[in-house]
Amino acid sequence: MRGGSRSAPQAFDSARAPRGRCAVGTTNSELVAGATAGDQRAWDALVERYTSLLWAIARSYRLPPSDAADVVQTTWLRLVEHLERIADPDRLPGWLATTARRECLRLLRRADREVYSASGVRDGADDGPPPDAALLTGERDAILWAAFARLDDVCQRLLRVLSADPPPSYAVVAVALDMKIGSIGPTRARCLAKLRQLLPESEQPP
Amino acid sequence: MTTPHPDDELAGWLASVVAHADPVPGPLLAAARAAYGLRDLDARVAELVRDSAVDAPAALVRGDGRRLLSFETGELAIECEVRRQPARVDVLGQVVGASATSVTATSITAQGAAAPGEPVQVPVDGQGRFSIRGLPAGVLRLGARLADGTVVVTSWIPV
Repeated sequence: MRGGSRSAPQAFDSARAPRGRCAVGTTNSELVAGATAGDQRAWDALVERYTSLLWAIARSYRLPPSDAADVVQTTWLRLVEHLERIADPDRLPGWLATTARRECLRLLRRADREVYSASGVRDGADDGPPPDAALLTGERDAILWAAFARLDDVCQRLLRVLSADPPPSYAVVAVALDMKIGSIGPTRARCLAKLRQLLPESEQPP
Repeated sequence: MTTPHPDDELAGWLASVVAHADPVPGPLLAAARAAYGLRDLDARVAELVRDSAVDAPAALVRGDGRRLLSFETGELAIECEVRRQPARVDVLGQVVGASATSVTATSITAQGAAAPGEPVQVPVDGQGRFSIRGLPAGVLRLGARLADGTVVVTSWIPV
């Protein structure tokens, strides 16, 4: 169901990794150790593993694409600075998510306060999902996307982050969105029920 | 084979739609990979300790596009004021607590070129003050070369 464009880690595996090392099965500890030791491929594997999550977090805070990109890039640059100080690589996704969230809040506060001149480079936060319905060739997909856009902020944010590839753990979602971990499962269920209600009868998932 | 939970099915469908409607931009992935090339093992990192855009009451910063940033490591601080035009920033600052000979600014844009812009180096006056004008807006790092030959860089920050 989620196939198609999701082949980056495999491409890493077969094409560039030395001695058959497997990025998919490689632990964060190994990748952080590799990147700390100067291995660009280990770094690339981290980027491929977590950029979808960081993008999802930034977009879930409704940052426009240019600001979202700055948040993601700032998060990776901070990791470059901090590689030697990542004491527990198992907590790396939480560290990345926390860093991204803080930078989102920084940009949102700036966007509130700063007055930019006429060119409108920064036009404030997005008003919802991007107008990319044209990219959704499937009519059913477009209907789901439109229904998603009608959800409240909490639901859009949570479901957006949970839709990252690979899906984040609830522990990571908790720090990314500053939610109690115990509330994520029930909130997800409530939001999916709302989403289902917003779909026309004919488009209910099988 | 067990039947997937209906919630999981709907969530999976949504995830596939999101992946097509709002994918990670390709240039951003390239920029994130290239970020590794900006690793500087020799420099000390001065962490951001104050940002008027976040810390100060709104009334103090509203409207004029100025922003005060402070970075510190040990006794050394880099204080600066960032003035933003729509696509460019000017940085006026001071290195405090150590004698600096020059300051370098590196600014990158995540959605454009993967490679950082050419670093801009400026001299520092007797009081440690420096001025850098017309940097491309993006994610910024300043580096101060000290009289003892060592380098201190600031943490990266979007400006």
